[in-house]
Amino acid sequence: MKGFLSTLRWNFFHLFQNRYTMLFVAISFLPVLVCIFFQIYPEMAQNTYRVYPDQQEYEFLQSPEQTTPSGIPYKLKTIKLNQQEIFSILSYRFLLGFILLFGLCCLGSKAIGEEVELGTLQMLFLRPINRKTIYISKGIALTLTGLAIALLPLLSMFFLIFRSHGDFLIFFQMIFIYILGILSYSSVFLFIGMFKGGLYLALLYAFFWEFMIVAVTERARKFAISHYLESMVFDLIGQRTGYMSSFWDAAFVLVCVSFVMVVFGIACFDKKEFSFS
Amino acid sequence: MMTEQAVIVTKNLSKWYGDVRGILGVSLEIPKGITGLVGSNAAGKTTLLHLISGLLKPSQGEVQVLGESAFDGTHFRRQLGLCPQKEALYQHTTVLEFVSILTELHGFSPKEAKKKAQEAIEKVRLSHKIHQKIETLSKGMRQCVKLAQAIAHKPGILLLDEVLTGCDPLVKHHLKALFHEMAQEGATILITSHNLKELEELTDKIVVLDRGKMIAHGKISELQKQSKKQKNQISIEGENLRSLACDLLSYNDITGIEIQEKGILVHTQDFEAFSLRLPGLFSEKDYKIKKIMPVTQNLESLFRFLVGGEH
Repeated sequence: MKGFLSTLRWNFFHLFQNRYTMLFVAISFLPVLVCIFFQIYPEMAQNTYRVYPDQQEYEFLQSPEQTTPSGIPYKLKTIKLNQQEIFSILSYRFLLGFILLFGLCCLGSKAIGEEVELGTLQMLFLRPINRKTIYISKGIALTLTGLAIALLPLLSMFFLIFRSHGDFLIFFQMIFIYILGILSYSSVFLFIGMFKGGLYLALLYAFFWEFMIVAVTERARKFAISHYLESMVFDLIGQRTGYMSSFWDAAFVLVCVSFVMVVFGIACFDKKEFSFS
Repeated sequence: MMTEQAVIVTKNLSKWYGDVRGILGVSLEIPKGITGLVGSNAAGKTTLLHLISGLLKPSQGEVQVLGESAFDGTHFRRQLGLCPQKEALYQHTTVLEFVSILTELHGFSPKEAKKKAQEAIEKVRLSHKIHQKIETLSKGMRQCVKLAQAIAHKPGILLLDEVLTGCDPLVKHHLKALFHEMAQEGATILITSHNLKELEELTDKIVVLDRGKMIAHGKISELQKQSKKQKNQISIEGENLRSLACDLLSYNDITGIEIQEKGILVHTQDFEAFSLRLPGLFSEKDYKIKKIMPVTQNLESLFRFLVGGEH
């Protein structure tokens, strides 16, 4: 246990000397700025949709009828986002689904690779600690760093949106989603970072798979972590659509993904040979 | 079979990096005390140290340290200290922080680790920089930080890769004394160095590597006995030596003459006959001789002999 805690401390040393960590701490406050913007201009927190004559609600809408350039009539429907929706969407789309995704991508993929480059990983390998402990402590250090980065902006957004009369249940549910999201992203990026050029592989995965490909088909979405995080968030605010998984199904999938990636990562790390020459 | 005194044993040890040979079929037993690892660049010295410390996995053969397999074992690492050639330091930490946390990883409490780190830093004469960030230190001082982390937990086995490089003469002198002291206390020290003179001052036991192969292993004096051929080399410095070289070649016992920058190097089969002949030769012609001396049997000449003069 003593060895594990010392290894964990060493890994925090490494994470906090990484220049990306401070950069992501700063960037993580951007959604808070957006939140402040919505507080100043509440009319901006609304979505406008087109409703066509074949839709049931068309005749009840009070807005004037307009036509598309090809002559099809429609009416505009404006929906104001409630506080719960603003909090969930900002904290998911901005903070977890973008900033933390790319933050953990950089930190996670460099957690091992950079230590190999610097040669400091050999200092760990020379101590009487087994490699499993080193890998697990790296994963935990990364997850805790991700949570530490997210916690303050999340709390700030919560109090800005709900002020003192906020529903703390939604806050804790969101923290639960964050824990699962950070855990699964950390386990994936830590694993990718073990290999040469890990940072580039991780960026490709984060950008093209987690961020872009999921927007193409519903089937592809099911293979991305972001889909399950999105499902959890939208189930939380009661806006889950057909293709999304339920809150607990998504949570189960994320726990499984994290577990499999950690086990797979430990097995590889235990046998992998790193060159420190 | 491991002999009683052997702490490190390698059996038919080979390491390949793809198609590149690192080490080939090295079998050796390293006992307590200081052993020097000699070899030119890319001879495989660092590879051998990394294999012994378990950082690399052998492609073939095995390495045992204190009876444990080096790559898979962890217990022997309580007794192991490695001062790597590469700068493996966290630049933003202070000397004390860096050495303390690495000592803590050996299973000591933070308080114990700090105390041991302070002692080690004192031993490498860096106490005056103990709270300074590593990035502000000179190369020699960083070398001392690397050494401090290797000795802080008082290891029984110390692997030193070019440890004296970059250190000033005073520090070098002090570190050599420290290594002797540790060896006397029962430590096994394996040290690589490009500076053969320095190595000779530290130990009389060497392992010579050349292009991944072990070409000699043992005491310097014993290896020198094997290379009797060396004794018959005489270096002569002075002027007009080309003429002397021509005269010498007429004698049967002279096997060769090398023209060097400051003089000539004479190879003879009969050292005694050659010595007796010299006064007569010098009285006949005015050669302006400045210095005559048999080639000293130091580690450098032995190394040149062992690797066949290719380096």
